[in-house]
Amino acid sequence: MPAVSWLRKNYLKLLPLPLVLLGLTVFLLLFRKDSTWEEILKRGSIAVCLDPSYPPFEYTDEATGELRGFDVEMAKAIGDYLGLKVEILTVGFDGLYDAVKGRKCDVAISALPYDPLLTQDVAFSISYFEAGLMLVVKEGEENIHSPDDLKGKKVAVEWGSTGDVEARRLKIKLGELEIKPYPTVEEALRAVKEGQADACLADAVSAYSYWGREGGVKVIAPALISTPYVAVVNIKNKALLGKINEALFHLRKTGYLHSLAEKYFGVRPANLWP
Amino acid sequence: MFTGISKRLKKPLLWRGLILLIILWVVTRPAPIIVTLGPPQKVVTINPKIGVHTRLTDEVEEWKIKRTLQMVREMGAPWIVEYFPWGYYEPKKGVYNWAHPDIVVKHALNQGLTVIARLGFVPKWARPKDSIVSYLDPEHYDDFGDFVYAFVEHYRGKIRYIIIWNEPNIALEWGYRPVDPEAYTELLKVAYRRAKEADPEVQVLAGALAPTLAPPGDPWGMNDLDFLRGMYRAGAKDYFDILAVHSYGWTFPPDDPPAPDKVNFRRVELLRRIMEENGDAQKPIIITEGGWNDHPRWSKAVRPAQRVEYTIRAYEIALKEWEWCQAVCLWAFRYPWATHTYQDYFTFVAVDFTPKPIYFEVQRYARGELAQEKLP
Repeated sequence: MPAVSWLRKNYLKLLPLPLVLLGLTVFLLLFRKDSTWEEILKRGSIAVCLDPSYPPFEYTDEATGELRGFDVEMAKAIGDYLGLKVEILTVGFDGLYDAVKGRKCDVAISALPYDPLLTQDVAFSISYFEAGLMLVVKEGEENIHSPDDLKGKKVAVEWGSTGDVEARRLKIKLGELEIKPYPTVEEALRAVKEGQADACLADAVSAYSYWGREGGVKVIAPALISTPYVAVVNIKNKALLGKINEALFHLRKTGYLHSLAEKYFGVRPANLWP
Repeated sequence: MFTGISKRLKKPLLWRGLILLIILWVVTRPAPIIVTLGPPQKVVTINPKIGVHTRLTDEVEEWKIKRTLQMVREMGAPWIVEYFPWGYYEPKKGVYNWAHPDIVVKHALNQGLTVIARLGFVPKWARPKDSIVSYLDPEHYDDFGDFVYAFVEHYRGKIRYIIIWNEPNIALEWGYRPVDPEAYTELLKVAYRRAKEADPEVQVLAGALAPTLAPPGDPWGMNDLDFLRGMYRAGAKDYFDILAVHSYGWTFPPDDPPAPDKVNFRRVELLRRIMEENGDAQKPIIITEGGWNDHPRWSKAVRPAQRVEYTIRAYEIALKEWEWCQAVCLWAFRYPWATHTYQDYFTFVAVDFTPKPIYFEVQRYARGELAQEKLP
């Protein structure tokens, strides 16, 4: 039994072998190339998940039954830039992250806010829309430029909203500030337009919608609390994330995102993304 | 090898280095947070039926437990429902560890709160491999009964209300098996007997049924009204003192009239009617979950202002119109961590303890400050 005899004499030399094999396996697992992008190119289409219940970002046109909205058009524009057909899958809002993680779709584009606590689970693109809390004043107002200018002013908020939380915080910080709560954000914005309040703290989607539809107010950037909307991909799809970011940079640069904002909100906000 | 280490330890330089390291560790380690109980408190409120469901089961740090319960008291809520998972406290048959729940209970009592303990969560040793924590076979009902006995005995004089199981009318809470009012009633009977053996004064709450419109034969659940009727048919009447009800409003205001084909806040009145039909009118009801959600995108959510208004009105209805309702404990006061789903929009206080406007408004209501006020 020469082999057994050799093993007996030299077993110490073989001890590092399992460690080397383990290290190699870990290396291959960690640095293996994700093939999703190649698969997308091969099939010539990209699967986009969205929840069509959030106009004007995504909704179903009641007359035609077609999906419409800012995100729907932006997804198609990303597909055009990448030379891919866009296949849209509708998924409930709370299932969007799981759909990406479980590879039901390649990317979720559904007015999803960046969430730093989820960066271990999914990968986020650059932002395409700032949906955070905005300061809204009456058109022509020249003395209010930031929250610090609200001292002694009347601030309209939607009762119970994030704007309400922030107004209460500002009241503590500034000392003098009158909070005027309204049942809806539209009523709070109207109070500014009609001069019942000096400013309103409202989310960007509501603020731009009102501004575009009714006029008489203006939105002051930047957001008091930032909520950037982003596209979400599987954390392993680095190549796909790079391509989507490239496409979003292109859409930012060419003014396409601003044209979408104009189409769906009726305004061209100065700081569309953070 | 040991001789080598022993020789090295004899070197004074090594000793000095070790001592220096120990001193450095002692000096630089973060100081432990000392949590004191503080003076005993009382809840000040105009509505003694206000309650919330807390989520302290997974809250590790004691100061957070204390802070949560302090804020519940400061909001003006005298009642809390808290989950006490069997599997956490009896890891081996007959071996109990009450360290964590003791902390929760002592702080709750010190804040002047009444605790309603929800009992469930089957330990691994009492269920088949690969089953979920809501799976309990009849052969282990006595094990659950033993736990109920141990729990009630341990907290005798401190916890006077216990809920037996949670939402047994949906498959998720019944081990992903077809739900069965008779089987639940059997479990209830075992738990009731053991609870009363440990403390005849303890109040046993049954049901905690999920409001659902599941059609007959639905594999995922049974309509709560049918389930309660089934419980009575199975002889549940003599085995509970109070009915626990989950009462969510979804998109409907609290005054929306009840109907068998609708899930709304007043659905509890239909359950009440079934109790009356079964000669149980003398028993009270406690709402142990419920409320409204103000997620901006969830289809069953309302606007934040509506949530505030509906919540206060719900507490008011219980106080003024529902004599039979002992407390309304709405879901959920605060989560230990963000869920990143619509669930986060049920809470009164953010994960970092920032109170939401609904917290301040309920507090103002409980202080009697909202009585004459109206929205613009």
